[in-house]
Amino acid sequence: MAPGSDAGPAPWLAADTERALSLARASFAAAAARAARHTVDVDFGGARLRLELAGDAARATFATALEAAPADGRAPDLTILAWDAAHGAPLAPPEPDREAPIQVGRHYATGGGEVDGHARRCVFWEPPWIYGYDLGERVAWFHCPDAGGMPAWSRSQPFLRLLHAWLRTRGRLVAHGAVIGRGGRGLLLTAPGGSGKSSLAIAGKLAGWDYLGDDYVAVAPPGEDGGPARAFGLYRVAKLEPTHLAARLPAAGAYALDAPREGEKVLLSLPLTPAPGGLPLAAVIVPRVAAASALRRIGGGEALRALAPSTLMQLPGDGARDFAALARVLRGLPAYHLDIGPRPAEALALLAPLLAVPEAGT
Amino acid sequence: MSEPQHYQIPPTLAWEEFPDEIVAIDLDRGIYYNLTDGAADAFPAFATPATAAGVAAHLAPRYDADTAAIEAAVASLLEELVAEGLVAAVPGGGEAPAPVAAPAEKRPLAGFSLKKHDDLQELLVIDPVHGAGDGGWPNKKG
Repeated sequence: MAPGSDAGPAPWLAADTERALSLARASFAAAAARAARHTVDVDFGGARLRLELAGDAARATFATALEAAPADGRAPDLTILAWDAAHGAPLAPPEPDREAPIQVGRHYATGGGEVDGHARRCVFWEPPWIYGYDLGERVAWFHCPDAGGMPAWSRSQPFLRLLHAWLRTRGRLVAHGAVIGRGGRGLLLTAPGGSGKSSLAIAGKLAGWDYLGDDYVAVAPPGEDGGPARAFGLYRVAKLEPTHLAARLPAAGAYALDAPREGEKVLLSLPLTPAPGGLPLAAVIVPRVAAASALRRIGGGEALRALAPSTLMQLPGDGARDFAALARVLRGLPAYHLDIGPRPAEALALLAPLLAVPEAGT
Repeated sequence: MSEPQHYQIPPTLAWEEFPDEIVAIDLDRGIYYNLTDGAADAFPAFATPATAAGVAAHLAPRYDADTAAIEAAVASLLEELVAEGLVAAVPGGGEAPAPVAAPAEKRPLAGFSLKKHDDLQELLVIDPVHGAGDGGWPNKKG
């Protein structure tokens, strides 16, 4: 199958995923010998990630969106090596076929059997990036041509597919949605881009609500003990259209990381609310931008249609199993459609009662 | 006389049932579907091999309609399901699904069709949100 011609692995990747990891390790070591090496630990509600980054640009690009945790001597559950070719350690994938459409995240090869029911090794080819993981070795890697030249959006959600693959082995799924909450309970906001979910999540954060992310979060289905579905934060950098920042959320400007490049969104540094055990979800919200704010109850199927397709099409993996897990997350939750009017505070006011803890016996 | 054709939901199809609707997704093609009303009633009956007539008989106690009308509704839905790959012809065999219990109030015969959503198909080709520079995304053909 020619690279870029259809879904499926590029031949170079399909040949030997073990060799790809070996090449990646050697390439990283060469880069780390030439550039400053940075180690950053991150804790996703008990799942411990370590970043090994070669070069200052790699740290700025890949670590900014992740909430650093203090080193506590625990061994990481996964280590991600990240580096770039700018430090003289190229790891060149085959040239893509520029005439063919490229399917995002769908050029990958797996190998090495399974770990916890998931492919042990995987290599993704997402031009100009190449990355992969070996769950048996508890290592992942990400290589790019120039860490300093990564597009703004990638700085807000580094290693998304690697985290998706890893967290699935921890009983969690990366979901395309935002989470805000109050009083120890959260709301999962999910809808395609342009629906206003990021703006509403950021408005909630600015209003003092709990905040676990504006675009991607991790979710865990209800436990066997009958506990509720839970959400976990992933990224502390949110994205906002410059026009929305100016018109709807000027106060968010104080959190801007830097001036956006032309055509790119503003990146906002918004610390995540600490929730070591995850935030129990109280409801799922399907928002859209409208002339006036309004809330109405919808069925769980409609909520699943808002959450699952955009999540699974952007994060390919074991689609049927992930689809079933997302359905389990939603089954126990009331679902609502939210029209978001021009004043986010009004929409937040409609959501606040959903977070009230039911009294015992009611 | 030939045996009536049996149909079954392919084991590879991802679908989930909620009280108000069934959602199915075809990740390879970037299409998802929702089935409500009569379609949501009939679809799970194809979880095991079943004929159109067998499914119609299974549902008959629930609907305020005669057998021929119910069979026509199921046949029409089945045509859509087969065209979209949500069910496939399989060798016959197995028992027909037992008739459902008759509700206190029968329903009008309606909603034996599926809704197809292809609005996210482009996510499989390019990521519309994630623009990048030379050599990266997007790489969409003009």
